[in-house]
Amino acid sequence: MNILGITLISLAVSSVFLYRLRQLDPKRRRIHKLAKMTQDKERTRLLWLLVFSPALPLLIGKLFSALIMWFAGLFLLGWMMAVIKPK
Amino acid sequence: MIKLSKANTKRQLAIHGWVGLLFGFLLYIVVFTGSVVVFEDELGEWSISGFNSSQTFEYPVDRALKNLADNTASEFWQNIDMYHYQGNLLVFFHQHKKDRKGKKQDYGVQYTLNPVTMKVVDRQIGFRSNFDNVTGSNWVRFMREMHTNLYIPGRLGLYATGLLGLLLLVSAVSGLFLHRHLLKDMFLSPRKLNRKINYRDGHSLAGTWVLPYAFVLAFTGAFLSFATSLGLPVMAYTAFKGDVEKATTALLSKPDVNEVPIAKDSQLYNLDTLIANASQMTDAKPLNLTILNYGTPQTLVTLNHKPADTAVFGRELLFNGNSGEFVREIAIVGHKPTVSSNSLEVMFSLHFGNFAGRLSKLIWFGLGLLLCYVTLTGFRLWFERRLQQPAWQKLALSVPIISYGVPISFLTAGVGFFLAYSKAVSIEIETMIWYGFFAGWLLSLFSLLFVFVLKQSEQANKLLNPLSNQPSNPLPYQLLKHSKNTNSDHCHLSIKYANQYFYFLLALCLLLLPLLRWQFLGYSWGTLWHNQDYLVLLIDLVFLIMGLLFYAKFLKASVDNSEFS
Repeated sequence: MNILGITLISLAVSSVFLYRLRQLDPKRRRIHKLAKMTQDKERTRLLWLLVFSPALPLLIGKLFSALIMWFAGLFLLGWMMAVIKPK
Repeated sequence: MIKLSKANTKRQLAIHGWVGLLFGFLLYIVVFTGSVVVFEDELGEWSISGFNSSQTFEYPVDRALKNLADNTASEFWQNIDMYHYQGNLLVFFHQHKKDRKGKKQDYGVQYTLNPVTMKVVDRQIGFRSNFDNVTGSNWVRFMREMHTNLYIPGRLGLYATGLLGLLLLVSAVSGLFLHRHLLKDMFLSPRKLNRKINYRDGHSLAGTWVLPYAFVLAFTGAFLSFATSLGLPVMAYTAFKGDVEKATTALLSKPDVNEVPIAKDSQLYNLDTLIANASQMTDAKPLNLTILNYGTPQTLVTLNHKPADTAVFGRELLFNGNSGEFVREIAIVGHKPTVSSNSLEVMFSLHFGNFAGRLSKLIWFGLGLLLCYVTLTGFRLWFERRLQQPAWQKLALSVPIISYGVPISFLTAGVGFFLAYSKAVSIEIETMIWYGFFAGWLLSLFSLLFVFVLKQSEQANKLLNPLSNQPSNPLPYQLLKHSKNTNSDHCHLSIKYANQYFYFLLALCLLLLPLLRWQFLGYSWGTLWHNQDYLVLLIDLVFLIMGLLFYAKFLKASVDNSEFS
C-alpha cells in the first residue's frame, strides 16, 4: 500500500476515537444542553491513547512522511469535528 | 490548566492583543501567501496551462546531451544543468561571467527540449536571469516573494518576515498562557449567546487546534529568514574575515573536481545508467542533474532527488562522471549528512509541507488557512470588545476590508497576469500584476462607498438585493435610533453590508479567473481532457465551485440584510 493510503487509514482510525471523545466531552454536552453522561477519566485517557495509536506502527515501519502527515492532519480533523455544533 | 495571577493575565492579554493588532495584517499576508504557495507547482502549471510538469527524467537523455554538447562552444562545458520546467526539459551549458553591474552570473546557452522526443524546441544565449522561462509563472512567483520578503528590498525583507515569525511565536505562547482551559475547551463549538462569546470561542477553538502547527511554522519560518540574512553574514564576519563566498563554500562543502581521480579519457559515463543507479539508491526519480567540468578527465555529476515515498526530505548524490562510481551523498550543510544537516532538511520540509505529494500539501494548506482564520477572528474579537468606544467604531470596518481584501487583491493580481501573459495588453507582466494587486485593494476599499453611500440609495439597494421581495430601505437609522446601543449596532450592520459586498467580489474574481485562463491561453476543457492535463481542469473546477459558494453566500446575505432592514 502506498503512503497516501496508509496516511488516510491512520487518519480514519484516529478520527473514530476523536469523534467518540467529542461525543463524550462533558463541557460540550453541558454548554449545548445535551443529556448528561457520567465522566470517566480512565475511558477518556484510553480514547486519547487510541487516537494517537497509529503513531506506533508508523514509527516502527519508519514511515516518517506518513507519520508527519497523520500528525498534522489530526489537528485539522480535530478542529473540523469540534467546530460543528451539535443538533 | 496554566494558572496565572490576575496582573499577569492582563499583561499576557495586552501582549497577545497588541502584537496581533499591530502586526496581524502583515502576518495574515505572509501566512495566506505561504498557504497558497504550498501549491506553487500546481498553480504555476495552471496559470500557464497546457504544460505537463509531471515527467522527470522518464526518457533517455544521454545521447541528446552529448549531441547538444557537440554543438555548443566548449567554453560553456564548465557547468551543465538539466531539469524539467513547465513540461520541457531544459539543458543549460554555462560559465560564470560578470554582468554590467559587476555581479557574477550564469552565462551560456540554454536548450529547451521536448522531454519525449528530445527535439530542440528553443535555443537561447545570454545570462540565465534574462531567459524567458524565468518569467513563466510570475503570478505564483509574486505570491512567493510576498511570502518570503514582502517585497521589501535586500536583507530587510527577510528580517521583516523573520521578525513576523518570532511575533507569531510570541502570540502562540501568550495565547497558550491566556487560554487556561485549553484541554477542557478543545471540543467546545462556538456558542451563539452573543457576538463576543461567539468570536472568542471560535478564536480559542481554532487557536487550540492550530497551536502545534503555529509553533512549527513560526520557528522554521523565522529560522529560514534569519539563517541566510543574518546567520551567514555574522559567521562570515566572525570566522572568515568577512568573506561570504569563502564562508558559503566551507559551509556548503560544494563538490570539488579533486574529489575524483584523473581518468584515462574525458568521456562522460552513460547518463541513463547513472540516473537508473541513483534512482535505485534513493527510491526516487531525480529532479535535476548537474554536470561539472564536462569533457575533462575529472567530471562530476550530481543528482538531486525528490523525497522517497516514506522519507521527509530528498537526497543529493555525487558521482564520478567518467567512471560512474558513487562518490558521496551531498548534505545541505557540511561535507556529509549528519544529525544537524538532516534536522535542517526536516525543518525545510516541515515549513514547506511538500514532502509527500499532494496530500501533505493539502494538509499544510488547510492548516495555513486555519491560522489565517485565527488571526482574523482575533481582529474581530479585539474590535468587538471595543465597539462602545467611538474611536474603535470607526476602525471596525477595517476587519472585513483586510480579511477579504488580501485574497481579492491576489486574485486580481492573477487577472493582471493573464492580461499581460497573453499579450492582451502591452505592459510588462510584473507591472501588470502590481496593477491587478492594487486594483484589488481599490475594489476592497470601494466597500466603504458601498456601505456608506450606495446602500442609502433606494435604487442601488434594489439592484444589490436581487432576491428580496420586500421594499428596499436604506440603512435603518430610524430603527437603530430606538436601539439601546445605536452606534455598535450600526457598526455591525455596516460590517454585514461590507461582507455582502465582499462575497460578491470574491465570487466574481473566482469565477472570472478560469474563464480568463481559458480565453487568453486558449486551452479549453476538451483540449485539456484530451491532453490528459487533469490538474488544470481540477484547479478550474475548484475556482468555479468556490466562486459559486461565495455567490450563494452573497445571495443569502442580501436576503438576510434586507430582512433586517
